[in-house]
Amino acid sequence: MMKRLLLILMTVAGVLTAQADDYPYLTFETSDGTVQSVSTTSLKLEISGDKLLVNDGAQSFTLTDLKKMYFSTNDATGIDENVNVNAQHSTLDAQLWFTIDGRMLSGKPTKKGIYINNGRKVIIK
Amino acid sequence: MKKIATLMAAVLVTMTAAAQTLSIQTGQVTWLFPANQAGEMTWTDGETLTVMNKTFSVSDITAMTVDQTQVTDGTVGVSYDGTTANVTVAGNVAQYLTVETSGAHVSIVQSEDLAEEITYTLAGTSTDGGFYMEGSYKATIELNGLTLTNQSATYSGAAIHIQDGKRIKVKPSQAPPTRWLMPPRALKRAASTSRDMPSLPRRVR
Repeated sequence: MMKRLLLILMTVAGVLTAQADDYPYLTFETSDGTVQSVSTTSLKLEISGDKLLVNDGAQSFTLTDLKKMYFSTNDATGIDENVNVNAQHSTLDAQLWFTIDGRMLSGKPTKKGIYINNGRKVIIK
Repeated sequence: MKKIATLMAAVLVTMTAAAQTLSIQTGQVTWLFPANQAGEMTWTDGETLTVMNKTFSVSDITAMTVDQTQVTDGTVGVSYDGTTANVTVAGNVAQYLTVETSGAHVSIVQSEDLAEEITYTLAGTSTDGGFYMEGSYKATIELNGLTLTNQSATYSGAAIHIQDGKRIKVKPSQAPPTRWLMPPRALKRAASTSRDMPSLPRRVR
């Protein structure tokens, strides 16, 4: 009975440890897609006029530029959030050619035959 | 084995006590949003900030900090200190509450969309203060060593005025006796009282 209770307590402690982890960053995203993270250690934010001041003005954001903010585990500063990942995947798919039995080719084939490109069967005559 | 289990339980209590919190202060009210619940917080046109569906006017925000303030879901704390009262609101119920303060007088109106019980903990001392709550969902009022006298009818003439037709649980604390006083003319009763709600005496010492 005591062993079971101890096991349950240890499991709950493990879960709570995961939940209690702090986020090291607060990340701000502006309307032009710029992303900037600030450390959450003793973080103080203040609104002064049209600015959001971070830690007594060490950094600042123009309020009308701000779109959102969120706690994060990574420093996202400099990452362009406007990247269209789906568009990148489509471009990549269009460049890949496969034989009908699934072997990837180094480029667009020149020999006659049936090939797979961009998810479709293509007949090269 | 028992000692180990007791120690583990004590560690668990300690671990649940502190967590990273975004505190947003608007005057006498501090709204506490746990970092692991906050999610995306939206700024709109430089005029509003929305956190966990609670929208703040930028002009109302007096301070924002990230620290290890303890937050317990579903709780509101009111601490009276002479001529003022400070209110803390847990983030998960923030969107359902409209809080107004005037000196040591506090008014809290619960939205009809609220679907969970809130525990209001009242503490401290004021010779001219009050607590007014209006809602349509059950609630718990915890009196934690409260000494409260109402001299002026800011939100209500009563020291504590609950306007709620559902079950209201009143829990006096064990520690220093709670006292609430109101002028004889100012006895107020809820429009529809719950069976469990104690009738408030005109003068209690």
